[in-house]
Amino acid sequence: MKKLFALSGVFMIVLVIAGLWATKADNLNDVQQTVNPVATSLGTDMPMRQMVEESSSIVIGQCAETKSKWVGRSLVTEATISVEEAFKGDAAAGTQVTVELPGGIDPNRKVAMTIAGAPHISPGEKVFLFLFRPDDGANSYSVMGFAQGKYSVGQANDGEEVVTRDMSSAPLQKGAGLTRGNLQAIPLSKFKEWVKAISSSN
Amino acid sequence: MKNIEKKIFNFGLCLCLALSNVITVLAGGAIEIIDITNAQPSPIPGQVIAKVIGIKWDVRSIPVQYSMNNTLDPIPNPLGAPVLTLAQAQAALQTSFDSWNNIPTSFIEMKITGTTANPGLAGFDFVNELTFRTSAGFTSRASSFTTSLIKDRTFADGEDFDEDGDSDFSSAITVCTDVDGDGDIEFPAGFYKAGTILDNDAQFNTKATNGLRFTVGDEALDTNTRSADLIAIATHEFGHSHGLAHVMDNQISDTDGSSSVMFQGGVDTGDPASEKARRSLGSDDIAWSSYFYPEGSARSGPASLQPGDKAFDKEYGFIKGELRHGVLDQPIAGGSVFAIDYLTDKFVASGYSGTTQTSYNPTTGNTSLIINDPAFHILNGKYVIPVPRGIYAVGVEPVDGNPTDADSINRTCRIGSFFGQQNFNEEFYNRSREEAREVRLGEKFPVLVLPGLNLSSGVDIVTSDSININNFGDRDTFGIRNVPPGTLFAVQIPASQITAVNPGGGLLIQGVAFDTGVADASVVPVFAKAMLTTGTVNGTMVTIDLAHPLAEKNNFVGQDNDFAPFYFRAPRAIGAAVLKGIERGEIQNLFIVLQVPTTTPFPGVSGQPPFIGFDGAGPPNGQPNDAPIFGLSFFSFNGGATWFRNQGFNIRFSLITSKPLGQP
Repeated sequence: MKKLFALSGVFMIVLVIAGLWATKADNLNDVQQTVNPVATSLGTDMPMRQMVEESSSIVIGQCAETKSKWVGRSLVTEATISVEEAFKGDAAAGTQVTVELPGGIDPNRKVAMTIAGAPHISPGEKVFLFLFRPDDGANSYSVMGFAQGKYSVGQANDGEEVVTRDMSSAPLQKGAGLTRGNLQAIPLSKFKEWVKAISSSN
Repeated sequence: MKNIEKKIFNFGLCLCLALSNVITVLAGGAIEIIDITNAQPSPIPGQVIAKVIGIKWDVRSIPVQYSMNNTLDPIPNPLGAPVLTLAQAQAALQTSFDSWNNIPTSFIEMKITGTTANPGLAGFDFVNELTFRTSAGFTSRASSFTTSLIKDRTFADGEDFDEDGDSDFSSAITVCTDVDGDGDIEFPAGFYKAGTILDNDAQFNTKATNGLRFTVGDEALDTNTRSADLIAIATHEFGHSHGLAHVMDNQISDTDGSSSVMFQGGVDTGDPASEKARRSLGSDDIAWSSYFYPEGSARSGPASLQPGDKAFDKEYGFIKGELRHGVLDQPIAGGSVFAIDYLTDKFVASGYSGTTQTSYNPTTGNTSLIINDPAFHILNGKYVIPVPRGIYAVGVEPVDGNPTDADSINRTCRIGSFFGQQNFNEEFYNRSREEAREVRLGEKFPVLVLPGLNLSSGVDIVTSDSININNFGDRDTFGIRNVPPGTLFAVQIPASQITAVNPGGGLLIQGVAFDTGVADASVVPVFAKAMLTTGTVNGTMVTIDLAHPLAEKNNFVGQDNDFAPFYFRAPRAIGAAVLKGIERGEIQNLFIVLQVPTTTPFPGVSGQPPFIGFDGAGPPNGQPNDAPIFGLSFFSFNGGATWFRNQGFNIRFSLITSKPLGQP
């Protein structure tokens, strides 16, 4: 009898909890119930909001050229970016900015300096960049969040421009539907909206 | 046949057939640069073809001698106490080195032998520096940067290669030594191959703006993400210091969520258990260090066997093969091929596929992929995985950004990604059935590895041309935190989507895949149940048949920050039954269902349930939806008695299908 009573009690508690959650069900459509990926085990990443806020310049552009040089005793690669569109900062469309990337190749001494996880930009690559000036008055920019502030702009199957982590010459999948694997790129137009929305909400 | 009997049968079959497989391969898990030795002209005028190769220390550099930058004592940090003294930090860094030094099958040895009073930044100066000084532009937690040769080179006695007015090569020595006692290392004069490391520095970010408080000891571990265990962070960096690249392995087994040390960002500084685990090497770390620095590979010197050492070739064998893309019909560059223990499913090691080359501009130093031809850049899709003796299942996963992107690994992965090769589903090697069109992607063929015997070559894998039905876009968020135990998530796949895969033809329903994650890196995302079943939707009334699933798995093990597949044993039968049911009007929808564990507390310091991936959050907190909210995602808090339609998100569950064998 005691057992039955206890079971009934447990059942009632379950019912109450289920009822409470049922009333909160609509709230699951609220973003507050979810977790930004950066708050999960991937905790090293910088949230997009922080990246937008802390960037001194946010641009879309094409890499015109890259060249390596020594800065002190470190090899860096300077990527010249022809700005096509600017979202923040003083780098206007039609101008060029220089982005300094860690590592590079010295063709004279025949040595390379490599840094695992550092950003790469290739000549001809179209990029979406979140940049900052490492020092006041510096002539060049650095990429926010090590490599995190660098996205490649590619094309989807239907020709629409998409944003992706890795540079790709092949058409990429976007959105839902029938796909090969689960690699998905974000339409550039949507990505721009996102950056603008964060910028304007500050 | 029972599962264990099947495994034994397959093992016997493997033993009988393995002797016939002989293929020579080279590939790996290295940080890569280029080799322009004897370079031939590239198709681009004025440029040459550069081979993509790994970097490593020459045996004459062993033990690699490091100098501790002593200009910051105590070590600064952005949070305050506990504060490390320089001596504590140095001891911790040597402990990290010793993790690698103590591998019995690897002859790598790195040790702190001196100090340097460099008030500036570390760089190429033949001083292997450990420093807590970083530039204003450095925003990572720590990094290891390496200067290495891109061409075979003979250095003469007295040559000043770093142009500091001091000789860097001496014919008076046979191993690297600080001959003149000025703090930098002199190399023996002579020949060095491309890829040889000349200098390595490791830097740890302590800046107030974006640095960390580095700590030592269990008592200092906490959930503050800007407080990090120095040994855990440094052990990772010192893997890079002797040439190891990032890996994809972020979940060692079904019960241990820890990653290999060389997984990028795998130290979850908000999870003390993760930090603690990452102080110690995993089997993959040990395998690759040993592969690059094989103990017992010479009769004298560092590579010769010393007391306590074990000969690499007596302890390890190789799984070798080629990876090809089943749809593109190309060898794959940078696919992650992995080996798990056949009997326990525990992860052992992995390697990247492909031998690659690029075009190099000898005037500017640029390398480029502008020869837009995979046949030029990807010479083959060969891979090798060093593993201890044992029986293995071999699988492949795409380097598609989850859990790591290609750009952060190496050039080979970058090349594969550039040519759009990372768009396939994770699958296992099943030998004779290994084709672009295959039935069971989860079928595992046992691969026997015995050191010294070439039994495990020819493990060639072709990625499947499966078609996923995805009712979602890119992942925006993970969720849902604090849901009650037993919560069910479901995604509806309407019959019309299923029949659209191969209109008028047959269908294989090979499995489902769930985008999953965890709050704490040390935790495995284990769900109470995963299933594929049928159901109906009439207005707001949703009925999902949980009692009669088409396929079901209890205690389903997800993956951290990736899609976790649940492959079915009978894709043909399920596909035929579903099509027949649709034809008869008995099946209106399939539902992919996943249930959160039914008991609490949930494991991990956060106490959160395992997460699933969502598409759709909307600005400003989430990115604008790249797919509409389809209204095909549901959840239930009462065991499926009542279902609620999710109006804010698309749940990222995927149905994996294929056309039947033989059909175009």
